[in-house]
Amino acid sequence: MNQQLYLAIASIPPQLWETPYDPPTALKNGTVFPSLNLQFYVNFESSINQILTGGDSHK
Amino acid sequence: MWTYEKRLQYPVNISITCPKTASLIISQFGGPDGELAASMRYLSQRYTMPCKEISGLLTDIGTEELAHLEIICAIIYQLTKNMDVEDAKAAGFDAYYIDHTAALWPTAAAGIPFNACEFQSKGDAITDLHEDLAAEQKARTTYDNLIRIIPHAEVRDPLRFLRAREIVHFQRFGEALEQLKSNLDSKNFYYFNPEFDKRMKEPKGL
Repeated sequence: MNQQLYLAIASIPPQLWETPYDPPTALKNGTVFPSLNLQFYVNFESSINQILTGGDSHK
Repeated sequence: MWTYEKRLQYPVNISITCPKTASLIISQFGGPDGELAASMRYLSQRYTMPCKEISGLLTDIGTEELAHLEIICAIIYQLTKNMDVEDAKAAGFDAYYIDHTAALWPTAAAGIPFNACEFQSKGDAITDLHEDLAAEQKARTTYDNLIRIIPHAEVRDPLRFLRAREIVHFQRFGEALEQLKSNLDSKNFYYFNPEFDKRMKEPKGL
């Protein structure tokens, strides 16, 4: 990443390619890219597995 | 135009009735940093963006925000669909119930109704992309605040998904800003407005 930085404007480094998660892991984490998986410190038991086997999720 | 898929982007399956929790989460429906404001912001800004790629990004993210609005509405609906009058009174949800019964209506948690003053479409690509970066961070903070205060795992789980999307979108808007900068003169990014002063951008082929 040889991105040049400038004064008085925001700069964000471009994301580099990496091996993405498999689809179930990506859905659970809200991103397919490990480097963008930046969790909040408040931990809890994910209920995703029981939700995924549940009934009609539209309503 | 749009096509509609009759499923949620992330599943919502809530077994409890809790109008108190619904009254907090409703801010991500109609609040200042909520999903409705996010979608309207991006879908409004996209027309005058000077690069097709950035207009396309705003269409994509503005569309995804509608899917997020739907997740938020499903959460609120499931938390209140079996509520009775006593539940509403005990939860401080009675004022909302008087005006809307158990229906969905876009408002902030503090009771301020949704309006377009909650977002900006300024007509300057640098300004609007900075607004979009800030909007994603404000929404992320709101999700942090919700996840911290809500004890139910089945409610927090979709909120955690939505929070993660804010971070991904921040990165994408940052990359869009970098692309815009690469088409401007780095000696002075502010010499003209690339959305309005169209004759100025011809030499760089924006």
